[in-house]
Amino acid sequence: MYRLYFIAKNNLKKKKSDALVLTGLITLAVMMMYISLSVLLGGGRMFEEIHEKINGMDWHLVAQKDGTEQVDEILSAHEDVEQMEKSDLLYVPLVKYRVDGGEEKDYSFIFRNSDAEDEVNKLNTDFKGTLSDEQILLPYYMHVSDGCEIGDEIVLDISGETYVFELAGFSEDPFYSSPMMVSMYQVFISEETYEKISTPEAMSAYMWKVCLQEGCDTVSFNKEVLDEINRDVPAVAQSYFSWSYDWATTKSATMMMADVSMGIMLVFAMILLAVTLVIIRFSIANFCELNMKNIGMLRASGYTSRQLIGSFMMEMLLITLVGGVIGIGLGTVSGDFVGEIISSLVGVSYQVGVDFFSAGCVLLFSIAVVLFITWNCSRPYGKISVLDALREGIVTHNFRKNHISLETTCQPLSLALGMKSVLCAKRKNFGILGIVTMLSLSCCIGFGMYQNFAKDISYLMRLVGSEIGDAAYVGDDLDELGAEIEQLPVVEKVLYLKKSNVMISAGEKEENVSCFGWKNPEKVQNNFMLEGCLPEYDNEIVLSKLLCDKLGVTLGDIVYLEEIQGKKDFVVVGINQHIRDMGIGGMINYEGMSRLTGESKSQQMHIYGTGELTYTEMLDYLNEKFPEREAIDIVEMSKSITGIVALAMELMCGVFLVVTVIVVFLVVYLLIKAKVIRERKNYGLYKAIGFTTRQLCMQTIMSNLPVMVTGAVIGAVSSHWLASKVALLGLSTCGIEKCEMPVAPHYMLITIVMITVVAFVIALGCSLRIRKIEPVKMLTEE
Amino acid sequence: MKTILKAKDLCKTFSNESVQQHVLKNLNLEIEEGDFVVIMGNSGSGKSTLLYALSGMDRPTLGSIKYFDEEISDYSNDKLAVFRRNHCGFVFQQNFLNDTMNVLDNIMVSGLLKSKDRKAIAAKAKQLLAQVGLSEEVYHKFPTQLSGGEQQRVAIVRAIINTPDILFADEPTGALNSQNTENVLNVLTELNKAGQTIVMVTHDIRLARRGNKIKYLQDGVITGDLQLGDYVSKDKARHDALRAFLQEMGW
Ligand SMILES: Nc1ncnc2c1ncn2[C@@H]1O[C@H](COP(=O)(O)OP(=O)(O)O)[C@@H](O)[C@H]1O
Ligand SMILES: [Mg+2]
Repeated sequence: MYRLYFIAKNNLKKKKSDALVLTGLITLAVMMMYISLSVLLGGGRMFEEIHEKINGMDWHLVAQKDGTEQVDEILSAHEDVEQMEKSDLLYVPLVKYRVDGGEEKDYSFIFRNSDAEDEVNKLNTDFKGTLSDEQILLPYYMHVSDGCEIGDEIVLDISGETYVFELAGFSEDPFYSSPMMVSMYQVFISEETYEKISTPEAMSAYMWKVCLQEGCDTVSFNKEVLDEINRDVPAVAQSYFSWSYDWATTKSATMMMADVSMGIMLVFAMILLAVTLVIIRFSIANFCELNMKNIGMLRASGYTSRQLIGSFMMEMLLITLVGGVIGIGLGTVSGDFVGEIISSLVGVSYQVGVDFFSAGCVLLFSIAVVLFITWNCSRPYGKISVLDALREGIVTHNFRKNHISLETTCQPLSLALGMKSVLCAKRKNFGILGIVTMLSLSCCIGFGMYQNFAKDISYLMRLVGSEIGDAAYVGDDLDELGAEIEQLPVVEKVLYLKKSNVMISAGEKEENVSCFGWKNPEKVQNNFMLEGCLPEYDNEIVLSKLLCDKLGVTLGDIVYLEEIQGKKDFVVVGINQHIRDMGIGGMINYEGMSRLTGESKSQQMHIYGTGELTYTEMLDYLNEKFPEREAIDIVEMSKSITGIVALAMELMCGVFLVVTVIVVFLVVYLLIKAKVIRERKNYGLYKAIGFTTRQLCMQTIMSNLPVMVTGAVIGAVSSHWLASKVALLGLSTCGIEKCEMPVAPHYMLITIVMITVVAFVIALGCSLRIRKIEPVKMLTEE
Repeated sequence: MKTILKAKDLCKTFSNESVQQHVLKNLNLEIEEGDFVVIMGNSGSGKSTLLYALSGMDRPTLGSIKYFDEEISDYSNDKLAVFRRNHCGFVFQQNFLNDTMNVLDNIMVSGLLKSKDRKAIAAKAKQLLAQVGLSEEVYHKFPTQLSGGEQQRVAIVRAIINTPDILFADEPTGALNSQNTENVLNVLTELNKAGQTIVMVTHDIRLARRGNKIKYLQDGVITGDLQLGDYVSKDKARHDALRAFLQEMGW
């Protein structure tokens, strides 16, 4: 063993730069794998821990107080319920808030009493009963999205009344941690203040909190108990607001963005590892060809081929161990930073601790693949016969073909010579081509995601399936207001919506679905139809693709919707897709809605302008015109969700770009350096016959740049087709069937230019070593 | 005849850490157009060093080297490269052909430095190859597929493709067997007869016979100078004169 270590150590000394580059690559790959794996494995666990700590609820329902007494009975009678508790809360659909004198924003809030004696889903114990009347607890997410710090002044404007608070701390409730799941902020205030705020504008409501027996499925509980409540307690179904969420769904929805971005990072880390493996191949082949004589000597003095291969494996093992340990070290050190990002994605403060399990997995995995590749590609060299090696006789290149005859080519000399050496090492260059193509492709896809989902959110909103007009109104009596607004010259159209939770069934199967009734379905902007047409008659319905699959229905089938007017039949005339409501939903027109709920009053109204006014101008205009009603800034409101997405995308793009630059840097550095060393003699000769340093540098650069640029171009161009496929792959779990993700040409160009420039600059820098080569020294060396 | 290259008070000193080695000491030398100069001397006497200094491959420590009226001893590296490109051709002991290119391209690489006319260079390369006795078969072979003598003849063609004013050769047959040696020497003699100036370094009397001027290098200076007439094979008197000269020099 020591003998192997001895040879390995000496070999490593001879190729310091290879060793450095490989260590660097492995460090990067291991670091990224470690971080992503530990978040992927540990994220859910962290949520569970918080859940455990606060005796978290497995399911909860929020609804108005009047006429909902029966809910208590239904819940306590249910056999799966272990513990049930009812708390008060205040729901304010629109609060204007301002953090520390910053700009004013709108959002929905629910207020909770911090002094209440809660047993289920307890408030963090350090805060219970400690708040003074001017203090407030905000969700941790606001720390991330609004930059709130403890001690900040928080001003809330609740229906014209202004309240000033001091931020005392953050509450961590996994259900209300991020607007990804529930788009409202849950805040805690003292009992006194709570009483003060309880005005008619702030709707008083109950929150039924339920803990289930060990091992109960929260998703099916939700479905089951909602059916019962909707059937037996009409007050809930008809209430202007009501919502319920179960633990399993909440957990996965909240972790989704973090999981997706970490998943992508993991894939990218794998790509990086693959790059490393390709480079290990080059390095070994290169080293063996340069040191054929030494290998011959070792063989002659009695080393077996197993021992030689062993020495290579030892070498790579050392490199992988060093790189791996540094990578895991760096991963741990950057834990705070990563934690910060994850926190902003999931909305609870996230600590990335030392995760021995992930570290072990990543390390073992990297060592295993590295050793396998090393074994695989050093075998032929280990087996070379002694005499062949001593004579340096084995012909490793295939010289039989003279690529690009200088006699006939019409390329400039440097390019022609460069291309000649590209073609001489075809296999190697294929490897490089592959690497650069992959990097360029992932960069472009990163850019594409950024462009489509973060920079401009309109396409994302179309996929989500939520309207974002210039303004919106919620509440009662919208129809008269709408009639007036429609008359305004700056308004193009007004959409009216009434939602209803219905049981939808087809044959044996049934689902609880939030059904959207639109007054004019044809005017709906963010409705992504896959097949069929819009509901025209009162018995027509459009279902989401995911729902169709769940119910096993398709175009032309009959489904039954059940609401207070009883069970009604509908024909499926269209299939659409959306991300909201986990991809499950139905869409009917107002006549259809009337069949279900009797008379139909609009609950939401979306205003689209003609484009004369910007949306902020439109908001001001409407608020001035109809001061008694408050127009909602829907763009700002959707930013709470799209903000998370944008952050995740930006993060990913950043990682892709940085890693691409680093890898291109390392690869070019390694290649050119190896080339300059290997071909010192030729360079010396070329100098002797009168090539200038400049010409030789150009020629060296030309031997690498074309491959790099080709790879960059192939990657960028293929992203045109592949980006959408990748996006679809990622979104398919959210119920998306069809999705275009064009990558803007300028992003492709940026990627290509970036790779080219980095490759060129590094190649230039490295090839400057040629300057030091003197013809005489080279020629007299032997 | 006109003096083409003139070295005056040439010094070359190698310093290895603390030790200084004076290889050339105030050496003076003139080479005229059309000469076939042979530089002789013991191994390690500094013949190669002198050749590299004369040909602009390396700069002398002190002294001047004039190509006609052009002082080249203080040229920059790139200027020297251009000088070599335009005026010099080289043949080394090892042929230093590029293994990854075929014969024709090995020659073209050099030719394309000076001219852009590919066709003309290719034609000239083929003509020169024929001149050194290499047939069409070798054009597309790789160096490793040729014998040592053939390789060296390719190297000579590469050296003269740009019609250099001076052809430098450093023990060009050192690595060859006697038959190949004769072939290569015949090529050089033929070239010289056609007017090519040649400066050749050797410590082999068989090679030295070919030159018309013999310079003997010893202790860093030229200690002896012998004029011979143009080479005629099997010339007994010529051989004896050379013998006597070398004996006198202490060879
Ligand atoms: N680059 C160099 N550095 C140091 N010493 C050198 C170098 N080149 C040649 N020498 C020394 O100069 C002397 C002459 O070398 P060289 O000209 O090659 O001799 P010759 O060609 O006559 O055999 C030798 O002793 C050699 O060691
Ligand atoms: Mg010598």
